[in-house]
Amino acid sequence: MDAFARKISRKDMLKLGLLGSAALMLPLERSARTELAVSRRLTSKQIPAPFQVRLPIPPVAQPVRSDDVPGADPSSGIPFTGTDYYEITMKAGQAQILPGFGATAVYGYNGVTPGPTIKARQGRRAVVRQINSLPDVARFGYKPWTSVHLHGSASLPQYDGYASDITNPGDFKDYVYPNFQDARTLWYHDHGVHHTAENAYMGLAAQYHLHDAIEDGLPIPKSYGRYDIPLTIRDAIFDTNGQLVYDDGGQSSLYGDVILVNGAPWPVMKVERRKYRFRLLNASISRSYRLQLSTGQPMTVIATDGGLMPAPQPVQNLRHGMAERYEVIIDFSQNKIGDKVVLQNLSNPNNTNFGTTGQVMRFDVAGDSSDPTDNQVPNQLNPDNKPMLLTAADAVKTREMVFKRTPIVPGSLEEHWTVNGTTWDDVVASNYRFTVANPRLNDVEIWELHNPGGGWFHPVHIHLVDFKVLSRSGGANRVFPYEQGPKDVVYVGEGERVRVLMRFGPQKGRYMMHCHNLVHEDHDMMAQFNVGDAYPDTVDPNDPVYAAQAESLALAQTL
Amino acid sequence: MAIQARPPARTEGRPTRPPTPGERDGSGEVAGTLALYAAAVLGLTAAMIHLWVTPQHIAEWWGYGAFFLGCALAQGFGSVVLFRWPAQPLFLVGIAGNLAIAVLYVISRTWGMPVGPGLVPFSPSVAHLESPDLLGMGATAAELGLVVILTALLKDSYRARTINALLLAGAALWTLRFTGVLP
Repeated sequence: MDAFARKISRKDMLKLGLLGSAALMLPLERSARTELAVSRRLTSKQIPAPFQVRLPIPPVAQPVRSDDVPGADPSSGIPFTGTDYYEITMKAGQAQILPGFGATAVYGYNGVTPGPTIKARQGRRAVVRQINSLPDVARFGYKPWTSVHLHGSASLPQYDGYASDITNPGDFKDYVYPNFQDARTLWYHDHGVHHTAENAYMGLAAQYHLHDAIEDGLPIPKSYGRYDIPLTIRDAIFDTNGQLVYDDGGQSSLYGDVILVNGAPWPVMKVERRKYRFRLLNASISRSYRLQLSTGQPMTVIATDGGLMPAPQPVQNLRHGMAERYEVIIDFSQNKIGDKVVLQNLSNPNNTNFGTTGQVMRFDVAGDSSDPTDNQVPNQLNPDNKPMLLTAADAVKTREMVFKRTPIVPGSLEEHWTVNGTTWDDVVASNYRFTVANPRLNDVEIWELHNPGGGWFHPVHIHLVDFKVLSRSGGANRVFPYEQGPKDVVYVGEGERVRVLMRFGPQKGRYMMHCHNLVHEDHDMMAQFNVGDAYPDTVDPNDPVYAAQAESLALAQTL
Repeated sequence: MAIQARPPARTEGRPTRPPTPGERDGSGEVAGTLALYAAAVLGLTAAMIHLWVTPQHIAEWWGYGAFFLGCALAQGFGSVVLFRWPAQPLFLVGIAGNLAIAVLYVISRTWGMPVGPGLVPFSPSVAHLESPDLLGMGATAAELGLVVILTALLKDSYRARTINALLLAGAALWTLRFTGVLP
């Protein structure tokens, strides 16, 4: 060949260096940033083995006082027979979570996580005073304002946990919950604007059970903590000191490698050879689950987000998105004493899985049934469930809501999460007037929730209402049997278009709709809609920000 | 009879020009051959790394396995061909191919896998963000070294343009990083 006389000059090397540095440094830099954010993260070898601890059952919150003074909801006119008053303090606490490690710093309702379960009766209001006693600077370096949302409740807007209706550290707010809906598993969790994910991740979440006469009359398992078991499932990342680490992948999603149930890692529950009712709540920030029992025996879904289904639905496995609630009956009478039944997670596309996330908890069959009562699954549960009686022909309007990433400003390469191209910042900038929909009170509408993206799923939550899932096209391409109940969160998978049908009411006012991947919500996939009259220039009596603002605890105590 | 000094040798028909260092002492030919050796070694190194990781990627998804096997074969055979029949077009193909693999590595370690099971192609999937590892960085370093050597072996006009194109590629990556497109 020709003599090799060509050299690379210094100038050429500098030019090539730009490419070389990019190719070698960018992956390392990305990894280093991630590693700094998860510095001293537990390795898979250091994570404790599963099935070492017993399943804890959250305590039941006790009201500080109650009365039997009847009244009526000021907006809907629905009557109540009395009120139970609770006082809960959002504060830092220490939780012994990982065996072999020290206590983990958490935030919790009354300092525990999950927080205390509130048990309410249909027809009796609950007033919950939420006191923010969190530190002025949160563990992850932000001011921990809060806004408590009772998820599944048709509360008035000013008590719904509107994201911008914040309670700062040192303040408190009284939330009024009407409890006129059908029996259901609700949950209360933080919804503070732009820090919902961090606050919830630190532990601000708890279940809330609403009971009614229909449920009382069914022979399904009851007795909280004995045969009626809350299971709040979530994932977390820990460092070598046993402390929580927050890594949302650059405002993308947070996937932990430790699965917690009721705050315990892969716990064990001893069960009798009979039916149990489990109130499954996916309280993960970003992880969805596909739950199945290791023995292959079915689970029978009896209730969804909005309460009892018309009829039970036996399933082999169920896809469980963030914030969804499914009540399932597991019948251990077919198992032998000594059997160990693992609740497994088969996962779904676009979750980051680890070797440790394929299991959730274990049931050890320890003995025969000691109580034969309420040990059945009837053929009918709540056939008159109103949302399930609606049909598409009832709808007066169809709207499309698109959940996607869009440029922050036109032409920008940086993107954020949006609903129809808008964000919560657009709502704030409009002084909370901007809406993506304005249904009239009691109108029935179809909303088409569209996820055109292929790299993520969006469990979409619409506040105020219970809806019926009409159809799903693309992706899974069907409505699963266990989704055929009243819902307020629906899994909108990759490339899916899900149509939901709902009646807007009985409350009027502004309510939120958002993706319940809390990282997406915080950055900034949240919008609002207004039911009924708008109040563009006059005072809205149920203004979600101004009608019932938080108050200073110190000031209140001096008065 | 006087013996006359032999006149200096002349190369007929060839224009005279100052000799280059390589021509003066022949080391350019040696350097060129050494460069080809080095290029072949680097190419084979990258090929072997890709072949080594193929089975674990097949287990993850057949598409990943096929990609790594394809890279291994292309780099392996390419290295042999390059060494045996060095030619400008081959150099350019080698530069483009190895550069593409290196850029894909950067994307997979900063943005996410562009294709994969359960993904719509070329939608960002930070859930599939891979971590950089020794083998991957080793293969990338080998590919970059190979690109530099092949660039040096190009003729002047091709080389200048190629270097500028590589400069643009590097600038583009850094721009994507600083604008947050690459998180």
